[in-house]
Amino acid sequence: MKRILLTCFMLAFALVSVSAVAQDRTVSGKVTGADDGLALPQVTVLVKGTSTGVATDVNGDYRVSVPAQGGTLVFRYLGYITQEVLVGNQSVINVQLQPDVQSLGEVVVTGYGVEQKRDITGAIAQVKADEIENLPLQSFDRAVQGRIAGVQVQASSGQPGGSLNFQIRGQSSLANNTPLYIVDGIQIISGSVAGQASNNALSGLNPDDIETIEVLKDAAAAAIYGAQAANGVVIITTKKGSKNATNLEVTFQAGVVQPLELYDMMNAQQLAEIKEVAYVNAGLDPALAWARFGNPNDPATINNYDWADAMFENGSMYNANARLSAGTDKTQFYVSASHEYQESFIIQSSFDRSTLRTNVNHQASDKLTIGSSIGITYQHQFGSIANGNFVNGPFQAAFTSQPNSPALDENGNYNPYPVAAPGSHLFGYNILEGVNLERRENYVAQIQSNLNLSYKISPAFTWNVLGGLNFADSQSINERPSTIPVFQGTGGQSFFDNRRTLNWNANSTINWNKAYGDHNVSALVGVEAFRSNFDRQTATGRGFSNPALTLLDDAATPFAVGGSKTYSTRAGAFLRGNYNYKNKYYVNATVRRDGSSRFGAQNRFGTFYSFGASWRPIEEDFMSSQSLFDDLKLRLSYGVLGNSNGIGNFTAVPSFSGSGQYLGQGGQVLNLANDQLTWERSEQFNIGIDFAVLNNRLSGSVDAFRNDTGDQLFTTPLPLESGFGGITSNVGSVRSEGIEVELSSTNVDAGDFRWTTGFNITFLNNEVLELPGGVDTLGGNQLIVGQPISFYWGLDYVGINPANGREMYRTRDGRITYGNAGLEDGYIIGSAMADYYGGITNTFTYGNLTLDIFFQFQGGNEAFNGDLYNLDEFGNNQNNQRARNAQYWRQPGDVTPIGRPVQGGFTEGFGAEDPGVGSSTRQMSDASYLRLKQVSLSYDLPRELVSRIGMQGVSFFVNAINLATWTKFDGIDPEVQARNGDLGASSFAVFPVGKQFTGGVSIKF
Amino acid sequence: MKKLIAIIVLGAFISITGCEDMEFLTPKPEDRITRDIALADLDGVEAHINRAFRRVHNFGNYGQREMLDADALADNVDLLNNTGRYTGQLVNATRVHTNIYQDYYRMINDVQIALEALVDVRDEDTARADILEGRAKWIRALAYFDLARVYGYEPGQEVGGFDLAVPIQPQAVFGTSNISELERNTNTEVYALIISDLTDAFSVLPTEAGEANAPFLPSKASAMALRAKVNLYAGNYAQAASDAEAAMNGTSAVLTDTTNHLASWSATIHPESIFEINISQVDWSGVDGVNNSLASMTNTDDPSRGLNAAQGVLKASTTFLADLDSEPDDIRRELWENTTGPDNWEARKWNGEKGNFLENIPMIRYAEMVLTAAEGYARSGNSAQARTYLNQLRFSRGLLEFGGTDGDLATEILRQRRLELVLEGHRFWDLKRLGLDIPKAPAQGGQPLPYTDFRILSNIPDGALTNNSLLTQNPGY
Repeated sequence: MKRILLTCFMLAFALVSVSAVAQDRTVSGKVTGADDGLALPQVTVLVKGTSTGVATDVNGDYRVSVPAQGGTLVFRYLGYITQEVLVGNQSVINVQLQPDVQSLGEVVVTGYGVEQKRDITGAIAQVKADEIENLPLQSFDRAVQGRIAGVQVQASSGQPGGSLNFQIRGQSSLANNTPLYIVDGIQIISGSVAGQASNNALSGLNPDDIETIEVLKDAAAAAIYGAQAANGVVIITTKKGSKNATNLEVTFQAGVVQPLELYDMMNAQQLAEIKEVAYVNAGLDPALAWARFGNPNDPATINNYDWADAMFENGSMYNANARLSAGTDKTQFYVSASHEYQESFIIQSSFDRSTLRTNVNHQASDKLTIGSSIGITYQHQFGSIANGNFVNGPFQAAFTSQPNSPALDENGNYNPYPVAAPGSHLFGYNILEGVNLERRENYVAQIQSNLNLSYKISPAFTWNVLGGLNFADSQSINERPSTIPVFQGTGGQSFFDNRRTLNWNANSTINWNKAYGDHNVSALVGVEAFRSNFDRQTATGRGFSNPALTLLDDAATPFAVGGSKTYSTRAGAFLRGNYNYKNKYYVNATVRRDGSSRFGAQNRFGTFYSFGASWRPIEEDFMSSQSLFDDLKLRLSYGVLGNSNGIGNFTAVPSFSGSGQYLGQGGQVLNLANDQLTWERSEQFNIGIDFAVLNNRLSGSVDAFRNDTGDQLFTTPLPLESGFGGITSNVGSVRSEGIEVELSSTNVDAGDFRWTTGFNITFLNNEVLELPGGVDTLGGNQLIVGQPISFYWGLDYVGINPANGREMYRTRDGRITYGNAGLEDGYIIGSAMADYYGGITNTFTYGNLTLDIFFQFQGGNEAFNGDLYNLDEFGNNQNNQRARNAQYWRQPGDVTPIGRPVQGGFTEGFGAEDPGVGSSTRQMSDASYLRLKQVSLSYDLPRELVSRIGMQGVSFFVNAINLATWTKFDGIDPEVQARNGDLGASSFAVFPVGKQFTGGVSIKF
Repeated sequence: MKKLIAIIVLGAFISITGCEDMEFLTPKPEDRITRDIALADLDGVEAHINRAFRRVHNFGNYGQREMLDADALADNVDLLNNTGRYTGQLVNATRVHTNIYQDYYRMINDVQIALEALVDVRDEDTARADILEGRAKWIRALAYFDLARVYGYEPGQEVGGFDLAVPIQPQAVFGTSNISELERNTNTEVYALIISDLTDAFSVLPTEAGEANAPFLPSKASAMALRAKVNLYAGNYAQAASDAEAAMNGTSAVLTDTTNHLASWSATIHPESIFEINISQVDWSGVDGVNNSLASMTNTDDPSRGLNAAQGVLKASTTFLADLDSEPDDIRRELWENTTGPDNWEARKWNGEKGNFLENIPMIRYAEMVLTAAEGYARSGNSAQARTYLNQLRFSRGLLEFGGTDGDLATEILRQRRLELVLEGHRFWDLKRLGLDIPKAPAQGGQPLPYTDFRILSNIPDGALTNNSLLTQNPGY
């Protein structure tokens, strides 16, 4: 292999260039952009039909020799429409180039380089700054939700600055489906970096600092990232300084956030009624129910309190942002600062972030360019307990708390809970008191920085060196003061959790570009090394003399300590070659070899590669006479990419570690390890078409893809008698395949009025292709050949038996049962994986007014709402119930979805909510949804008016986020499906997203 | 020039791909060690045994569930506060039972690793090696005994001839190469292993006086005590009686009496403990006490005793109280306090006396041995000795001499076991080992669970069945 590469590379050098043409007279002029009137440097100016050409200088000036008879000049510049000018007898030709609004002419950032979109053979999607600017969203991943074909973004928490799932082309890995994120060449930390609130490391980058986001979706695009590329790559480029100009933009916006529609809960009277019945049906004295829940026939004993009303509120937010882009010929810089404060719609939950970014670029000489970017953010989150059946989580207890027990007494002091029998429900936890008095905070500082050198060795060769550092330091604090009764015994407790993540990477690449007449050849060769360090210390102190003293130093008892330290390394080398003929036929090939410290010594290295080809028939002669197509391109790619994420750093190291103690002597356990562990290998096919028709009024792309990922990193279950539950192995193969469609159109373009539409949709299919040893199922029901990797296993809920009010379930063999089903009686009842998703955005512009309406959708997926275990249990336990439970079964013959209330919930040994196998369709519903994600209206003040007051532009805007949702999902929010262990539910007391309304102004100086 | 650059770049490329054992890529973890270091000495062996002892008081085991399930599955307790816990056990709901399968096999592998490693390092200190071997075997016996009683019938008490207990893991598992699927062994095979382990343990363990950490670590007395219990379950009654006597003779633990019995439950080490599992604050997270401790399960909120926001899940059942009240002057009646309502009698056995709900948990008490000796004699035809031991216990609890006939002895001993060992993990198993129907208190409907009902045995968990094709589920599930 090495020898072949060497030969290829040397062959490329063996090609020799030719040129030479006669010249007669000189034409000069200036090239400017029609959009802003600024000079355009580096515009290619060609004499048509010859190879004579020059480039404009930094002032946009050029001077070119033309034949005596004049001929035609061609002005070509990336991102602008190519313009041809007949020279005639002119000697000065000034040209204004029109920006090319159609994507096929644009520049895209590829791995370790930049290419014209026209020349790309891979599947790459691009999002530009203006699509996501000035939105009240804390991280770019949230901002691009629904905007990119093939990319599914789902919030896993509505916490401001909280976590999201970002998946490119479905889930073909059992271990991890998170893409690789590259910001200005640096691999950055993603996921959570702090513990006391749902946290997203990507909010360490202010979305308003982003110039472009590129998503590399197929093998041809992503293979240059080899071993980390199987889940796709997201490349983010931050804004740069401008030459010979000073642009300052200041933006301010403020607004409110409100909860989505919450559960319709019973009032105290309704709960007292169903509880009385439940006690009587269980053979208990109804007086016991009256004592706790009130006597439904005695209004004096009923006290109505709305817990959710006390916990949910209208939160406020503001965001101030200033961006300066300036520079000279030689040196450009971009600096920005922002501050954002965002409350949530639940008390004691917020996000507060300051960001600072400096990007500098300096041309030290004709050959040497130096650049550096440093982004620093500091954020503070106040978090809420979510994702689980936690009595101290507001999303559980705000609904389950009994309405007959007010949180506050008449003096405004917290009541014990429940008032009638303290401790008899929710561990006696008064949720309003708990959430108000407990502190759950994250302080996170992040630095994303890099230094890069670019040295032009010769016109054809450029050498780039880049070093980057990404640092995330967090402190998470949980204070549980003694003023909360449940923590009184501890004397108050403070928990500190300090985590530090430090990633560095360094790479060196050589780019080579050369045109040989109609043959354009380029190559890239490079090496890269990466290391990620993580360490963590936790400490808990108890016993504070005063609840206001909460530092560890103030603690009477050093209660507990903990900590961990780990790291991983990776190193690789890569080579890419591109060739095209007349911008008509393109081929590209990439190979990368990577090694990772995570794998067994024998399997540490993997080789990854891709081939891509494209054809632009639009350039063919036979297309020259047609007028329908303005552009047309066919793309084809194939490659093998890797994934090493989703496993521990030392999973391949057979080892022993400390664990537990007895009588002060340390314990030790064996870590079962697999020293044969190696990469997941994802074989990816893509075929695509890009087109533009009707004078570029309609353009788009259609791609079909198939990713078959083998050697899956999966915890293979073991016989429990071994003392181990499973071992991480390379097992089986999973297919993720689908079709992506992306369209944009200009529907109306009539003078002042313009209406454009952008639409994308992705259809997905996921299935397990193969399991180790040729078996059909693994772990009973964990993986099944022919089924998606994620599904719900259980029984169909048949409904309530009208004869006796009991719940009935159907087993695999069709038997109707009240319970006692085993795993083998279950079957697949649904899947959380969407069959399709996408978005549609309509933009209406009339004069200075612009209206954006953006819908986002997904469908074909089910969700299992764990909340219903508590809220729809027919009044059987202590929890408040959804109001619909009032239609409970009363007598034989009643046909109702609500069963017979029985205190305790068991009838003849069968649990009302548990068919035995764990779950049933009773708590499952269709989670397809259509969401009016964003409505934005903006108004630009007339330019004349603005320039009179010394500004370049002033615009006012309003945004509405998550304005409306259409769904059959039986829960608060179909989007937020944070998986958790509780009963296998896909959501349980999750933190839903909120509705946001903001208004603001943006001023350009 | 170009060639030069190309050669440099390619040289770098090749050197990266060539050095596939690069130092940079070799993992050097700081949080773990290799086997040659981990098991190089007796300290390493002991560390694995320590891990096993730590598992004993996990909340699924003796830390909570194994102490309380037996009462909830039978008739000793009613629900006080419904937190969702024990509601299934109280009504013997299907698939709600003690479930210790996975954790106990972890415990078994901990000590089997220790036993296998011990062979190579025994020479370091043979006396210490003997003690470690004794501890390992004691733990293994405990683990198999508990597995056998949860998942199978006792020998001689099979329903429908179903005599399978649990698989015996024949070797220490160090890697996937020595993992195999295993069939369930019969109850007699498992009991034979248990008896043999305890006999070995007895021979190598120090006397209680020689074990500085007794009763927190096993001695000859605790090996005998556990073997007495096992023999009682196996129906080897004479042997059970003699083992119990040996245990009582070998221990410094004493039977409490009416003057100190109540206080004994607030002592850090119970004076009757022949074996007691030690729990330290570092074993628990900040909320384990209130969430999972025995004290939280059996007491309601009581800041005066440091039991803030205790859950108070279980109270005495009405039938238990009636049984306790049927004779006057029983000191154990005072272990129950009336708290939040007229029928809410809470136990004062589990008091969290080490602070923040923490306490050590007596697993084998002298009183249990007295009753085991009594029952062993009673069921092997020695009524006189049985009566002596029964009365020893009765006198110590403030009761009069047993006035019943010899024929009633066994019944009275079982009743005394109920009253004496409530909330200590005995009631359901005592009924089950004798093949008796399980009575239920009125709050649970009052209908007894017949011994022949499939719910007497716990179900083998699905996770075990699906990964071991040789494993069979218990009948009825």
